[in-house]
Amino acid sequence: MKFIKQTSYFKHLIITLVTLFITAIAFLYSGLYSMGADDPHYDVTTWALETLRESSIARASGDIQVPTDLNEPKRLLKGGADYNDMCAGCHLKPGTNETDFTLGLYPSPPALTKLTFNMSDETAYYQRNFWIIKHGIKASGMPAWAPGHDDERIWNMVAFIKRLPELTEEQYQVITARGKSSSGHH
Amino acid sequence: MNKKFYMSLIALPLVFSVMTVQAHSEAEHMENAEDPNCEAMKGMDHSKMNMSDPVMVAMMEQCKDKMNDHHPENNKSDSHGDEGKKKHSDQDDHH
Repeated sequence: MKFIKQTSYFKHLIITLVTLFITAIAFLYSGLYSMGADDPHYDVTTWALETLRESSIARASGDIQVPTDLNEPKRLLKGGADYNDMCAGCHLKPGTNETDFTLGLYPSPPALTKLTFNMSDETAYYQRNFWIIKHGIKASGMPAWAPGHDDERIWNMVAFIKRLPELTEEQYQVITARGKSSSGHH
Repeated sequence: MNKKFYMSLIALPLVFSVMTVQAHSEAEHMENAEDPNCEAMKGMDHSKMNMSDPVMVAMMEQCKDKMNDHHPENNKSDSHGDEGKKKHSDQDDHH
């Protein structure tokens, strides 16, 4: 008698799972889900995706060795020039509050000019930024810069981003300029 | 003909892959390079600045050449000073 009850329970469980699977597949092919970047996620979806992202990055970046010379002015000059060319369009520069990218991308890219360092663990902060720049983030608009950019170049950007929120417009312009009168950081 | 076709099939992806590698070289960015606005540094209150701060050192490094260009008097005065010293030493010799 007990055996028959257990068999019936498993039968129902399998039927439910198969039905859910078929429904999910049917939903994927139905086209009912809105993929528009101007149609935000439900709060619960945002929470799930952000939790997934942060947990994944923390685990993947935990073993990265942080260079000890990230405060070197040369790193700021090299990283600043690259930031201006590659990142400022989405992550802004002092004196700008929005661009077409910040208005249109979803999720909206963080304004690194305003994102002050507030992590208790400085090493984790550096590791996180290095990993994100190197590997990018899936389905967010953040590209992986590893192809075409070596680790040193990425560390230079990490060093610059740490100081970015403190910079005035004038300081930013001087540090990020690659022009001929600058003293050969390119 | 066939050989040429296959060669181009191999060569084209190679050319594109090389271009991709170079796409983000620092030299490429130099085409539209902007000059640092070192004039802005003159308006800054240097007394309130920490001159050993990496940001300040980086800015000084950037504007090093421009500042030297803008102070030819200093260079001249230095050379004048040297000449002056030389003249004085010559005079001293005469004395």
